[in-house]
Amino acid sequence: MGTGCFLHTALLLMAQALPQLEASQYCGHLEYWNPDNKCCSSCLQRFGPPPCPDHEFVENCGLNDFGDLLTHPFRKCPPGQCNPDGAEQCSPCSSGVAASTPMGNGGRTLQRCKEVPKPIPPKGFCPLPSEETRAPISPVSSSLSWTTKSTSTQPSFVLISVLILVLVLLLISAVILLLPLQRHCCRHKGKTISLPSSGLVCGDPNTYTLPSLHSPSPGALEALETRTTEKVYLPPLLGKDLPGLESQPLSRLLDELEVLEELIVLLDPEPGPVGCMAYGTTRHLAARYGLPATWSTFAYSLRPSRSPLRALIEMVVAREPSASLGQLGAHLAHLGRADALRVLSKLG
Amino acid sequence: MVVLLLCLPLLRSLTRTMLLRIFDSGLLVCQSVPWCGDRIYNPLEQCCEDDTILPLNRTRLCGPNCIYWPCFELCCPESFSPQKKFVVRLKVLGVKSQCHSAPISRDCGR
Repeated sequence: MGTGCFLHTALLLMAQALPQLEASQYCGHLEYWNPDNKCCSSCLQRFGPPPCPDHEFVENCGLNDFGDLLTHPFRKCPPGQCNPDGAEQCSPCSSGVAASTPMGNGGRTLQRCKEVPKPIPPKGFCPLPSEETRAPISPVSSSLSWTTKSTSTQPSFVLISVLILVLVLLLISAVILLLPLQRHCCRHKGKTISLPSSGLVCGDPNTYTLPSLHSPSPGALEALETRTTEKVYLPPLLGKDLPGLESQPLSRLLDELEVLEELIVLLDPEPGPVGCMAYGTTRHLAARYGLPATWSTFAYSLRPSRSPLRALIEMVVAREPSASLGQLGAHLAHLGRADALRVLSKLG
Repeated sequence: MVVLLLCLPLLRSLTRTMLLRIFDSGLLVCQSVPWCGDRIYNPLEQCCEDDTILPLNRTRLCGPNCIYWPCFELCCPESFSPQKKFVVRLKVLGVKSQCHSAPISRDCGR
């Protein structure tokens, strides 16, 4: 009696210590309330099946009625229950029958969202070490691979390896072929350097950006070019050090923290060096890389805890792994930021 | 408005791209707009996340202690260990962002 009482109290205290996630007032156990569409959406449709064996969805997959993700969507099966097949819920181990999906829970009103038919996201990587799982299903990863949208099925490991090898070979050959062409173009065009533009952006209308967004508005472009023609000059550094920078990946800048810090101090502050006009800052650099103004507004809202320049570099590196320091140097030159160019040349 | 209604039934059956007519000195210019589920949205003010149209400045909680911008970031639970933590990662514009490959924006802690 005493032990049972102690355990019960301990469980209550633990429950209070954990983040409080109350059950949805509107949706069943395996659904979550979408506060914007005012309807219930399926946890399975959003997160896919549990990535690890013997795990199941938590109540409303960890989302509250405001759309906040307060807890992990998945939890381990209670003692005595198993889920080897990746069903939404665990079932008694001995029965071997998956638990039926409850259509309602506690009499809550279910107002299902009218969802566009699409395949369920594939099972993600299980981050648990193999000894914690009964049957490891995939290599251990440090994070779950939830996709915002997914339409493909999971290929075999061999096929993935072959695809990665082919992609690496293609990338290497593309770099080898394009590098001399870029240098040839740079020598002939002189001050004008053509850079990758918004052509990299997917033009699918179902994605949340459009190619047209990634080019600055005509008015802004004209203003920028006007300022550029008024002040443009290529500092001596450009001709001397760019060849050295061109061959170096942009990702190197994320490792050279001292140089990055200096660039952050020079480029992040607004207004820019001209004074009352914001000119030649990270915001303009983002525009040159084809990012919309709304992204820059978001990036600057993260200050002071996070640098917009660092976020920009990470974004460009993730989107275009072949981006080079030479391209960054060219952008800085076009913005007239000789001071930042001098800092960047330390990596040359 | 009338032109908008005329465009809608004719073209919706053919593609998922809707054409808007923008009047500019008498010149009719058609421009495609993006869809989110079965609705259109303005990408200059909104984004599409999980078939839901959100304003660009919408913020939500990622874990109990962190705020993130669902239009620009992903909320990624990092592990199943007792020290469960959440990490906010940057969405890479123009591609389908995934938790395991997106760059880290912030570590939310527990």
